[in-house]
Amino acid sequence: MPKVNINGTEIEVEKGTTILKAAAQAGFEVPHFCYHPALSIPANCRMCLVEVEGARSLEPACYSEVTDGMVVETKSERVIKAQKSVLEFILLNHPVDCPICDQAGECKLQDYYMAYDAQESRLRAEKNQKVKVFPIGPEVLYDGERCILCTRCIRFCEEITGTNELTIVQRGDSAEIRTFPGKELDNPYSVCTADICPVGALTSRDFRFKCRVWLLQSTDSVCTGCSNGCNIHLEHFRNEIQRYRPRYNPQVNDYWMCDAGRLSYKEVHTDRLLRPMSNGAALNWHGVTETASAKLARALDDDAGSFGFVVSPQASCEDLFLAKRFIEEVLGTDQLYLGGKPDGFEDDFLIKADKNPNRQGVKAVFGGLNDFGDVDKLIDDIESGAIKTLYMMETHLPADAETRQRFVDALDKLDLFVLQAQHCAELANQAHLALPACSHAETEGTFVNFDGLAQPFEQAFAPHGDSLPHWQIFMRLARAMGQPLTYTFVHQIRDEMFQASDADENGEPAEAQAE
Amino acid sequence: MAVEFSEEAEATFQDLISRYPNNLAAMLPVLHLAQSEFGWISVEVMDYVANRLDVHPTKVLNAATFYTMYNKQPIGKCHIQVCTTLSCALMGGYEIIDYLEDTLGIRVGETTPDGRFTLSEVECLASCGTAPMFQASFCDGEIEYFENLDAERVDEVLKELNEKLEALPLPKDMH
Ligand code: SF4
Ligand code: SF4
Ligand code: FES
Ligand code: FES
Repeated sequence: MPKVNINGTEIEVEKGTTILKAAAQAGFEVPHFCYHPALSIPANCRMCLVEVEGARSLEPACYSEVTDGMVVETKSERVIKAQKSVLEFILLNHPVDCPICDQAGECKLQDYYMAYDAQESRLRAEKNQKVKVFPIGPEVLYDGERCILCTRCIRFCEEITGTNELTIVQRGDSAEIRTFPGKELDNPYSVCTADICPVGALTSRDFRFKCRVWLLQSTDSVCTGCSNGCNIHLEHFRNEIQRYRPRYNPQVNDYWMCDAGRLSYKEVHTDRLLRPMSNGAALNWHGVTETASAKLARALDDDAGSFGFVVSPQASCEDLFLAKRFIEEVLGTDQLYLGGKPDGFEDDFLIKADKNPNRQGVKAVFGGLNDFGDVDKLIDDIESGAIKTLYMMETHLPADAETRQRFVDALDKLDLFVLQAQHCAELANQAHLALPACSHAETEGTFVNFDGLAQPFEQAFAPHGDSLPHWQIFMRLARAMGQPLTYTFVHQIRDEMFQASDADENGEPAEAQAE
Repeated sequence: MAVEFSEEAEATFQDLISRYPNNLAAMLPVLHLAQSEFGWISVEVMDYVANRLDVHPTKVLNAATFYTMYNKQPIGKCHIQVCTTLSCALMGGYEIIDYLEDTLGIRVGETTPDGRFTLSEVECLASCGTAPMFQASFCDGEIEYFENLDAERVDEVLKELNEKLEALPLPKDMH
């Protein structure tokens, strides 16, 4: 293994390591624009120049590999001069419109200018003008003046999605990024180009002008858009999600996520059920817990056999674990049905047809999916009177519009319909009791992705309205019905759950790999 | 008109791609071929070239817009490119431009109303020993140098060119 000396620090690295990576291992940052760890290395921006002892010219650290005995300086006078020159060159025609740029605060050009340049512009001529606010795709805007032509976005479309939408047109100081005339940057992962654009040249149309990035708080979470479970930074301001950004996880999503998943945060703030309701009247939790426990107890007394329960693969493992205990220990029913969103688009990269984040979690917690009835059986059972009381988690059903309508129509036949959900979705006003549950942003928990990987997500902000995590709602009802389930923290459920699932060898949850 | 190589152009195309290790490498000569065949490089032509080379259209867009010698708009039948780099400048290149502007009634960058001539100013064309000079590129892909120019010689050349242009189609009508 080659030994290199970087700024006086000796380290040994794998053969084939680039100077940039070796320097990072030795604890030195080499500034870079065009280099991205997941993409090919064009070495076109020259921001990463370093001095190698004995070499005639400065070398691009992103591209040059270390050799044994190499002595590298990343902060020598020559390097500092080169860094200043490169930045001056890049900034020559740059509009420096940071005050109206979404990237400000997380812009490499801004950061590097402060760290490596910090000199006044010597340009006295007028700057080049290029295209501003160019809608290069349905989700992404392009600003030609801010673009530093690093080609990261082009390489993303060539090497990651293979869709090849982008290229450089014209040359020199007229060069800009474009699609082929008549085409758009419209692949299902297009906003990733805005993530990797080191400057504010590509920006997300959804996030544009929504929030200054330094106001955002970031919480480690998991996308709920499908069963892939892409790791995300859930970024929020004043109890509202402003955007999702992919969080690096080489086991799941690398640096990427799909556009649909990225925009799925909107569900958290749409059509929310915020107050406990009884027959359309808002109650507080105290009142609704009493009413619900009384009604459920009466229903159990009358006809314990006619109790149905819809379990949701949208809920976390912790929620499901308490659902299972509630079902088994309090309700004592075995008429279970599986809810969740219907299948949708899938591809051979990240997007999965199963639009539920936790089907594998249901499998692990309930020991398989064989005991669950499907939507048709659910409707039949309601219509035939086999079910008179229905307890439903979440509002989704894996059904087309017509079947869903049949379900909604059948609800009239029920003696008691209890809905425990995030959303109203037209079901809340039909429910005798509607109990508001909070979203994955408002609590913590675990989702098991399609691959069997158990991934924790953290709480970003307090529950909206009066909503509570599903598991806490089950605890309230269980206590009111005289069979308390006693947990205080999510991790207690988690510990018990993992013991249980290890014991019966069902799911084999692996810890999510740290970033 | 459909964008498709004639039999003759097709033969040239096949020959061209056989000479390069991969199709991408044949991009520039094939674009020249396409320009002489279709008069100018429209979006349609780029698409066709991409198709024929089996590369993504953005690759063609990239190359075609990088080089100024591919005309992304139809120009005149004959493109007069006058050199004004050092030797030519010293030997009267600018006077040649002035004279051409007066005679043709257009400015640099423009095309005569009859669609015959487009006038440009360019850098050294490696004919410095016979300065001043211009290059004439025809819409059929032919290129000719005219050297040791003065006003008199330019008159002769224009006459010659005008005769030759009778037989050539307007680039904008070529596809
Ligand atoms: S748009 Fe951004 S990523 Fe693409 S070349 Fe320009 S600066 Fe680089
Ligand atoms: S692939 Fe699935 S999990 Fe990943 S971002 Fe898209 S919807 Fe979310
Ligand atoms: S990061 Fe090395 S040249 Fe751009
Ligand atoms: S200077 Fe005109 S051809 Fe060289």
